[in-house]
Amino acid sequence: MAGEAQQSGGHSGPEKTGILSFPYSRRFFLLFMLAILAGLGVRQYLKPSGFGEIGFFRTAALDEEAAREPTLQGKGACEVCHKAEFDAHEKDVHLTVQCEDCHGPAAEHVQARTDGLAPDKGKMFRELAQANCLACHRRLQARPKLFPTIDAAEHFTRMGVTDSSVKCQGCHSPHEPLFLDRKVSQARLHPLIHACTDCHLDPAIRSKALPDGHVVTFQCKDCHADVLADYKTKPHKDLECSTCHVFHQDSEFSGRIFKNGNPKFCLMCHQQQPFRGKGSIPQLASFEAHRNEMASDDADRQKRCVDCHAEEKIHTMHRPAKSVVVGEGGAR
Amino acid sequence: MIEDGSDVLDRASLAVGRRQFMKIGLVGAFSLLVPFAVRAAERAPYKREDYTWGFIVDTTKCMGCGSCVRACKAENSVPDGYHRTWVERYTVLANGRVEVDSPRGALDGFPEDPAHPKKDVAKSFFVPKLCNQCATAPCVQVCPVGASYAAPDGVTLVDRKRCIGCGYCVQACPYGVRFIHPQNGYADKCTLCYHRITKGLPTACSQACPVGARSAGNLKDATSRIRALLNSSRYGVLKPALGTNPKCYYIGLDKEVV
Repeated sequence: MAGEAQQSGGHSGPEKTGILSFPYSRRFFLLFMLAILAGLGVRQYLKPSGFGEIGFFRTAALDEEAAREPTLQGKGACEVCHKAEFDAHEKDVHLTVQCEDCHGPAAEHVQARTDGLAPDKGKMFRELAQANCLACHRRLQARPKLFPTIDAAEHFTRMGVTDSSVKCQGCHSPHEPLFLDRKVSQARLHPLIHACTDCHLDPAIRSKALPDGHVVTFQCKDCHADVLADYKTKPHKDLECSTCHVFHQDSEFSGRIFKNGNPKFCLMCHQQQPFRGKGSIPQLASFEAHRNEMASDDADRQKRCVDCHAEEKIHTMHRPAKSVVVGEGGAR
Repeated sequence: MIEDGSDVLDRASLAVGRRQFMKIGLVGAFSLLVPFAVRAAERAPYKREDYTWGFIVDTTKCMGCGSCVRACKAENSVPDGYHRTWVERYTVLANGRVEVDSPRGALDGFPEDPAHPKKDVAKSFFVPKLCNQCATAPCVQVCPVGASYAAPDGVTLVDRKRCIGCGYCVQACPYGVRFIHPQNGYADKCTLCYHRITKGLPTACSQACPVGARSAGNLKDATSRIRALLNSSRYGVLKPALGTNPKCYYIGLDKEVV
């Protein structure tokens, strides 16, 4: 059937060659061209301006996306008006936490204050719920081990908190959670031991294999055994070293360590609070009152908690200058 | 010097001497320039051709607080129940079973540990997810109207005015980072905070991250932080076998992460 049709078509056409010479094909061809032209016309009409200039998209879309104004302002915007809080925040361990992480986006607030609107406009979060703090500090198996976390129930028990609905701010200032006396970058550099000769005087020991049971990653106890032995006899013995001494590792070889003697730090646990049970841990109604009561002269009135209580309650501050205890090879 | 002095004396009515006048003049002239200098520093004109944006996530630092998710939501008005970025928790059990969860995308962090005794858990970690900024992006390829596109600076974006909301790109994305905006109908996704990075600001998520676990950076700039991190650490990308060539790199990526 198909062969017949083709044959009859071939015979009935004029005796010319070339595509344009076939009358039926010519009509088809013209129709086809017309369709293409119409298509191009429609495309021109539908294609948005600027499409395809630098890629298969509308160029203006790129600028529209880039033109949006940021909502989060960054902590620099807060510094302008809240200088005191900002400075306290900058020198403590929360310095990497943005203001807006806890207080919410500031764009509306900044705009409202710039325009001088009423204080209820552009209000930010002020008092955070326990859950907000625990979003970072809840103890979870997946959290990195060095990150400070708590089990809320366990923490409350240890701190003698009887009202478990109390906010974290009851004891901890969120702006300066550890009341550090200096910036992290200004804290004392603490070496991390790596080479054998850091402890062993004899260079020959370097060529020997690590003996069985030798420490690979050093902990506080490996160098400060004497202090730790003393510490274990004092009432604070259940706390980790890192509870008071923040250690901030800077590199493979060193870190920054804090000896925090700020009374505010001690008072986080020892300040008398309505939500804390009586007799759970020693509590002070007023640090200043206690200091003045105990003081005999002006020098005493400048003292911190650790100046009087360290030896008895925490650990000895008088220790040999070099407490590194090593065996063969001799201590440095 | 003498001439100078006499000159000043001659015009005793003048309140300022010549030297002082010059000083004031110079300081004044420079102080006039200060606003321009500050403005130039603030908004140096962004040149697309100088940038290829990439993203780096350090999974060893992430502690699953969800600050990035909250910041992203606030910055980009992400509708409830949808996420441009989210944090997943992988729990690898001792018997080899792997569990992944992300309650509300970690918008409120992670309220509790998964219900397994501690001894049954071999390891557990967090992995933040976002648009992988693929160099050969499947979502761009499938868009019938040219609304999904890769910007010349390496960021995959959506033209909201052009998008017809067909959802092809949502299906094409192997990382599940796209969604159809429930109110506005267009496809929405992480833009790498294009409106911020082109102004010299960090992305909302990386600014919010308290442990510095995530940041966007210019792969073309040999001095950028992302290049330094890529040069100094061992990293991986998600689903490399798909040939999407992601520009989102993960430090400390576990083989279980998909």
